[in-house]
Amino acid sequence: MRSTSAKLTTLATSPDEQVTVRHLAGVRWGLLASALLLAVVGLATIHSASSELALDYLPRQALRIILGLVACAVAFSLDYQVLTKFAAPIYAGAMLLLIAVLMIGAEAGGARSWLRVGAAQLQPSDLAKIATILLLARYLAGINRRFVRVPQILTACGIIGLPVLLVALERDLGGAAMFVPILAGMLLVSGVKWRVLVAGALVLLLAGALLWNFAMLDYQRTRVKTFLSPGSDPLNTGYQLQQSKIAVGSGMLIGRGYMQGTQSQLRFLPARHTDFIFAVLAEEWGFVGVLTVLALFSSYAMNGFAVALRARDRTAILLVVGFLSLFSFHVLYNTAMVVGLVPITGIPLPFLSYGGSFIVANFFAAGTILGIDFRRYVNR
Amino acid sequence: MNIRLAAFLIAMALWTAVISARLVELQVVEHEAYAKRALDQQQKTVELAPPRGTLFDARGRKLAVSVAVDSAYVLPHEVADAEAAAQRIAEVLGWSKKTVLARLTDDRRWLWLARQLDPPAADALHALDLEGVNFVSESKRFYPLEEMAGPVLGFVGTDHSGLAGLEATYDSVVSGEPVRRKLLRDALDGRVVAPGFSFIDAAPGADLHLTLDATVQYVVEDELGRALDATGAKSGVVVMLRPETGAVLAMASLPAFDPNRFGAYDSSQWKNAAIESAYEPGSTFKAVVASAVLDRNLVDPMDVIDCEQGAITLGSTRIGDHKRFGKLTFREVVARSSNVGAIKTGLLLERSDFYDAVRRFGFGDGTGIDLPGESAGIVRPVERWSKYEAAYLSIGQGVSVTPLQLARAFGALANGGYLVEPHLVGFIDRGGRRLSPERSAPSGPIAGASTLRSLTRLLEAVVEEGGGTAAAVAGYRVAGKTGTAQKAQPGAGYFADRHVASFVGFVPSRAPEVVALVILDEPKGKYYGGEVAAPVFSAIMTRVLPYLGVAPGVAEPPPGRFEPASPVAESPPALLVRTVPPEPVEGAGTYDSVPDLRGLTAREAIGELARAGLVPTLHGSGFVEAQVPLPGQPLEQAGGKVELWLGARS
Repeated sequence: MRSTSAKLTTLATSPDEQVTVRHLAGVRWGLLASALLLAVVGLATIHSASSELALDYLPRQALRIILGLVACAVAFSLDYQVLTKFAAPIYAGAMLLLIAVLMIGAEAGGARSWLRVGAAQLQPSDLAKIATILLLARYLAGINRRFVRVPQILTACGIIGLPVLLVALERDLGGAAMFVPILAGMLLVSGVKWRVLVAGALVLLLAGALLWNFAMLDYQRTRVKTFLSPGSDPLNTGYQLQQSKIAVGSGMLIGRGYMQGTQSQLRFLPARHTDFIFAVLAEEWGFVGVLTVLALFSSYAMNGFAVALRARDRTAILLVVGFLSLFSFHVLYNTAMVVGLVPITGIPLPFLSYGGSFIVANFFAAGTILGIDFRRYVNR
Repeated sequence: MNIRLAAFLIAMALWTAVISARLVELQVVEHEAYAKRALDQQQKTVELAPPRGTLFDARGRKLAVSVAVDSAYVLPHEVADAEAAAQRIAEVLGWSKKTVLARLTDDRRWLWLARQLDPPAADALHALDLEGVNFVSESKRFYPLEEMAGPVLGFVGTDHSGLAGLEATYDSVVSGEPVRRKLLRDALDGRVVAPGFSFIDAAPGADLHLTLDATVQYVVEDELGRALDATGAKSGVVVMLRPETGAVLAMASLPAFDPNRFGAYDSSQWKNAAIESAYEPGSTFKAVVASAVLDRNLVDPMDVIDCEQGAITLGSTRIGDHKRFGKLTFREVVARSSNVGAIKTGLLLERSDFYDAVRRFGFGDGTGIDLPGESAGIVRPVERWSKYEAAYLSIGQGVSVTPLQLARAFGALANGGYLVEPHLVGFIDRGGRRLSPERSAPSGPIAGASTLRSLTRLLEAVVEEGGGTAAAVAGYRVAGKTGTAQKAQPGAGYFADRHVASFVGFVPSRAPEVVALVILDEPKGKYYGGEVAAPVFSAIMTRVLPYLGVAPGVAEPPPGRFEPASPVAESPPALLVRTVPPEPVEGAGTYDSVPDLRGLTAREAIGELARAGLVPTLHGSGFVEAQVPLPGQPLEQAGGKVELWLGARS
């Protein structure tokens, strides 16, 4: 826990390269393999889903995957201890970017959450998620007690509260909500009494009710209402949900075949290369294909947990758990949304959905987890 | 900590299980319901009409073609600046801006802006290049010869079904077989997406090859039009048939309408008077009486009949002749069209024989021509005849016939006594296979061979020395009959000042190639058939016969007296093949070289060429763009033929 960065630099300069090689071989590469396979499936599905769009998004997504792999390599080579050391300035920078978005951001799908940087678009909330995980890990790792006390919990809430507020101000409520599972997962693992967790859940429910009445915008309320009774307005707000369910349902066991999904090819399915890419997959590859992809997601998560289980310090564990919470919640919420279990909101599917900064962020997270695994002996 | 991690893991696993269960529910258990919903919303049943077949004239010139035209549709959600766009579209289409704006701002995702645009309008709209305005190709019926033969060809409604004329009669043949298809529909713009699908899957419409000849039709309409101008007649009809077959060479009723713009005319103008309007035939009907009495040997052409100094009294009605005739031979009665003489001969017939004769000539029955809306005319059954019915019938009153019926009856006199079924379609071309429409067999003979020979001589006398001399055609012997009928007044009696002037005849009389009827309705001033209708017959035949390659025949001096009945076949062959150069065709000679036809419409070009005695072959439609031989080449070089290439005006 108290190891210094000087000790870590042995990675590059260690005379005992055989040890390094053995450590490298011992790393949970299955995590990266799962991520890459998912990205490839994503590429193919994006190609199919954008065949009726003005432009094929495949090359752009491929470029982002390459960028993601670079981010992954960078994250792998950076020591997570160094990373968490700079957590506060990184967090501050991310918050500034969120504020910048509020002032000069671009709008898409009712939310103002994009920042144009030249030709590229950046969604600072993706960066904010990573920064928040870093800061939370640093803060919670420093609490050397069996149970985290309520004031500390409130501090942790404050850490996520700021980005949640800023993202909510962008009118991206789904994106704001994604911070909550990060906190929940990390608090759970860092040691919070069960009754505190239950009380927290109740507080969240209360906050939700308050949000509904005072903070939510009409279109956001409509989305929730639509979810509750999808048949009421099939051509407008419930349309997405209806079309998504039809796509999934008509996929059956083995699907309609690649590029043969009529729901997406005939443009019935909305946001088919982004938030609803899972529906395209379900339609074209059927239950078998969907299970395969879910298995890849599980493989990623299981590899991640294996890393957490053998990690030797709290920072490492909390970081892995934070990233996995983020990842898992995106996967589970997005898939649940596509099959009509939860209200529709703009939450993409990690590694699969088209989208610039999110896929880079996910690869960065994967790199960090792998780096933690690689340093499990070094940092003891 | 590990327990906490496990709890976290279990929560995730449970959630995954829930999602998987939901997937099983959607994809396996309820699959069929969702698959059906997908089909329901994605499929659209459409009926595809294949392109309509082309109508060709007897020489392969296009009379009706289906051309691809653009229809414009709007995707209102894609229109950027509706105000500005509406302004520009309104200017191009000549519509009000309000109308256009309403369509551009419609709530629907997809709607028509303008269907079946004229090519210039479509080009202009294309040139605007507006967002949200898109085009699809649709088929539109186009009649390159415009008004020519309009009522014969008919027209097609926007739903691609034939509404009048041949387009209606042969609708199922020409339209092909529409195919009902389930096609996939795009969700956003309703575009039909059907990979690998084409309209060729539908059985294409067959082509019709008409017996009608566009050049003959042009001449006929041209001469009839002039006659209408010259006589002030209200309307006019010409029917021209091949007597042997009933093939219609030309059928005109003026004033005409342009089927390209049929909607711009009152529906009464769509009428084809040649088959739809029955009229009292008047003196032309005397040929029927003559045939009946000759066939029963009741009268010999040289028998003398007292024409009572020009009047006969039937009951309280006095019927007069146009001239105070004394004693006339029956031949003279026919030639000079004495009503008194005709009535006296008609009264020689048994009423039932008279009725039979009229019926055997086909009056009172439709001719069976391949056009819709034919009238059968009116022939009163003999048991309901009034006391003087036979007398009136002898001069063509108390009976109504269609022009086509009368032309067919004279065709029977010309062809050896057989009533043929008039028709406009020679054959149907279905993908290279020639099909002949079914025709009923000719009926007859309507009279014996010697009767017909005698009658032919009588009808020749009409043209050579009687009331129809104006119908004579230089170089050809004509047999025919004039007719001048007072128009019946609804209610009772006749208008004193309204007449129907007509001439019907066949030529060459001894080997008839063409039978034609000319009718002028209500000519002003001169109104005798021999004065106003006969010259039209002559003018038409003078131009048409050389074109049809009918060899000029008998030019010997008119026989002074009735010739012994001798069959045509026994006539000295030299008589028929002797080539007497025809008199110069009117208007011919204006050209000693091939005229410049470029820029003319097909219709105008055919007219010009007919005047020069040339037969055009047309390619394409629209305006003449190129021609072979080139303008100014000697006529001989053309060898009687000119090829024209047509296209849209540049």
